[in-house]
Amino acid sequence: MSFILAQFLTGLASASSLFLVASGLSVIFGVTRIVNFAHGSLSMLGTYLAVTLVPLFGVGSVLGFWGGVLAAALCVGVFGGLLEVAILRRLYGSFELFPLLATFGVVLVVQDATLALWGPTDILGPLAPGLDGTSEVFGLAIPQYDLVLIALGPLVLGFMLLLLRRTRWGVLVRAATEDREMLGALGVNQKLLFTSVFVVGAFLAGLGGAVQIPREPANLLMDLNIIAEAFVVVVVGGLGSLTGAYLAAVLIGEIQAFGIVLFPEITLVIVFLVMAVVLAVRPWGLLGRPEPVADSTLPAGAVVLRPMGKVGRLAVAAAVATLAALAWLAGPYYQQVASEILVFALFAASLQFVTGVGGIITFGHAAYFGLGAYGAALMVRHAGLPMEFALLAAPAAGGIGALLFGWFSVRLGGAYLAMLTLAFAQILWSAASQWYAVTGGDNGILGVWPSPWASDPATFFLVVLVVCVAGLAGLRWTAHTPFGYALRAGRDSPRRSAAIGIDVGTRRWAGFALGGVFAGLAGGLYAFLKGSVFPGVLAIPTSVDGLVMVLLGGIQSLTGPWIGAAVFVGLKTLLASATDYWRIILGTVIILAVTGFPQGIAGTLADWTRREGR
Amino acid sequence: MLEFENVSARYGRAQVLLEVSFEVPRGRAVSLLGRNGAGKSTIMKCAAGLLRPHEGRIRFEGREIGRLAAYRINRLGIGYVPEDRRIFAGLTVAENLQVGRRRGTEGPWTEERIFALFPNLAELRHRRGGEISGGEQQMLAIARTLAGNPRLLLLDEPAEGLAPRILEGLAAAIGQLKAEGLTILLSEQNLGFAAAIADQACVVESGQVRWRGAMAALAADRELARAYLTV
Repeated sequence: MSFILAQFLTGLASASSLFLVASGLSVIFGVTRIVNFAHGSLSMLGTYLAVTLVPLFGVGSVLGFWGGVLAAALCVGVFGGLLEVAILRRLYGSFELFPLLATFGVVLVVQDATLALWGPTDILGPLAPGLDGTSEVFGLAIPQYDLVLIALGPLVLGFMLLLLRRTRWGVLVRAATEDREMLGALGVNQKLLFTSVFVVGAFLAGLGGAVQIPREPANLLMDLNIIAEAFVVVVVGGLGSLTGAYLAAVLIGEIQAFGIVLFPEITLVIVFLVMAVVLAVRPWGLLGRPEPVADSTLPAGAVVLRPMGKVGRLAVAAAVATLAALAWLAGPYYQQVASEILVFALFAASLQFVTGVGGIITFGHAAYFGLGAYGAALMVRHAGLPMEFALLAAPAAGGIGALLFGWFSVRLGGAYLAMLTLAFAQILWSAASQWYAVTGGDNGILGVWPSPWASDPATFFLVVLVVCVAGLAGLRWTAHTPFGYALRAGRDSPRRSAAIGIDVGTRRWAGFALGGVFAGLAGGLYAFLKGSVFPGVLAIPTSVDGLVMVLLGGIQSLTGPWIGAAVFVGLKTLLASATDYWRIILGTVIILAVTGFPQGIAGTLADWTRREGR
Repeated sequence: MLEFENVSARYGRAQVLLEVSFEVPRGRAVSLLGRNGAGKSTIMKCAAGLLRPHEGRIRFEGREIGRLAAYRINRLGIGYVPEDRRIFAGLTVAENLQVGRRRGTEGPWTEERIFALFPNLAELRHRRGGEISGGEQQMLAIARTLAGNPRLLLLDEPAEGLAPRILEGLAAAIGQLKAEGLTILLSEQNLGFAAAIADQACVVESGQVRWRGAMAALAADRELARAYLTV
């Protein structure tokens, strides 16, 4: 009994911190419709700033500790405001992929900036003075600081609810979630309101990070860990509902507190199961309301997809022939790089099919790539099957995963979909990292080599070339079948499509699963290319890499992902070998590309599609 | 007070207004009349700052406002009541009014007087905007804009979709606003409703002003009304 109570209280304490971060995310999304990917980074900054500021304010004193924590949160709030003014303000109302990518650019920049400022080692924070002991609750010794945290969550919830219900600012924020334009017509300066919302949201994220310092050392992995958890909380609680977010945070906090003791290896799988049950029963979360179905926000002028003309076919044939010649002309290193580009091109093409053709903005496409890679690797290492069978298992694994996760995500759409797909991928990543018995955890699965006949680099390169070209042809062909037309119609206007008898939901689901099949195939090839599989194939950066390739190549161009992959893989290989701080460069490039030239990217896209049609 | 001079506007590539010119004198009520899609609402949106004209000038009390953000135009004294009401459905009636009111906009339209003009709303003040009837929502939309004490009121098809009995009450309320000296630009398809309120009329067709003159003259000229207004 006492064990249960102790774990319960620990869970409540974690829930508070998680709630603070998630509530900021929810408030920001409600008003600006932006899913702030950098929210985890803001929370991480809160932690790092707190471990730095608290000692400056005086470690031993109560005022020093809480003053430092509050100052850290305030700094993060100001930083959030600057982000809004400098970057996000340019992206309101744009294609929903742009703000997501821009804020991911911020994630990369903050990661490297944090590394540069605070170094790679974890930093332990000071304990809270006067709260560093334990108190007796029902005969149990509970850390006093946990009791403070337990109270903090409901306190902040109450404060936020009062702020939203009882102040003019709160009324304006709630009005803005409904109709921003009308608010402007009534004399409200929206820019100022949006910036203030970002400051408050970032402050909450910073506070959530800062209050963690006595419990968790500041480390560089916090950003993506917490963002995935915050996404889960917001989706399970219901977008825009703070009370829902608190309930969800308690639910997730408790599952983790009990899970870590009872089922340490599959805690995250349980989180997933609970999330799945909640969303199966209440698709919009515990206290969320259905989001209206919106038409596509794809950049105008770039939405027509045409079958390839004669010139295009000849050009592709020539390109494939040239690539094939590499098998005889190039050395193993270049064959390896070319194979990697081809594999990522297939991955990006499958993602392009899902986002560009299907209009499903997924942020966790790495899940299916990774499932393919692990599927193939497990077939070879555990079942002892040869490469040929493993390469059949890979697309099957990707497809089944996409079918399962797609059922929950695709019917929701919009921000729910982006957050949910990312959360699914992150859960798989955690499972792969934790489940040593099957996946080898962080040590990965080694010795995933091609069959003897294909083990020569040149031959394997040809295998990759044949499979990838066939994959692209398959995706292109599908986009031009009646199924592809229905998918595109559903993307451009779900309501009109439904009105002419297209079952949009099922088509989207099937399109998502098909994307998973091809991503799985790419993942399978990747496993044999590298000879090993690590959890990184499932991680958020892999998903985002795919999106950047798609964006570089053109959201509407089926050939674009190939060029996007070539440019991206080439650039990244170059950058990573040239500097340790490649993330900051890549992040800046992403931010500049998305904010500086959103029309430029779309314009290039339009040119591409036009050329493609010739 | 409000002056359109050769204003042209587009939605994307579609030309929706072509060299529109007219004037709304202080203290008067002018009605834009025309069929669906004639461009009346576009004129209203241009005046409210929700659509930027690509040519021409819009002046308010002599000041050029065509390039200003919507909130600045509102703060100069132009209140906009949109065609589809666009009340905040999740906010209570009182909160909707609170959005319309800002510091620095104190004037004749206190909450008391607004509720005196629309007594129904007083009883519904704690109900959510989405839970009241269409007629009540229309009154709320007008009340919300009045709360900001504008000097010029842009009313975009306030009569649309309302039952005749409710229309009478609405016309009476708008008449009272005019009697208090508020300048009004009304967009309307219903000639009878417009005639009850406006002194002057502007007939709009295909994005152009086809006729300007006294409301009484338009109401009396059956040929004219048939040419531009009947379906």
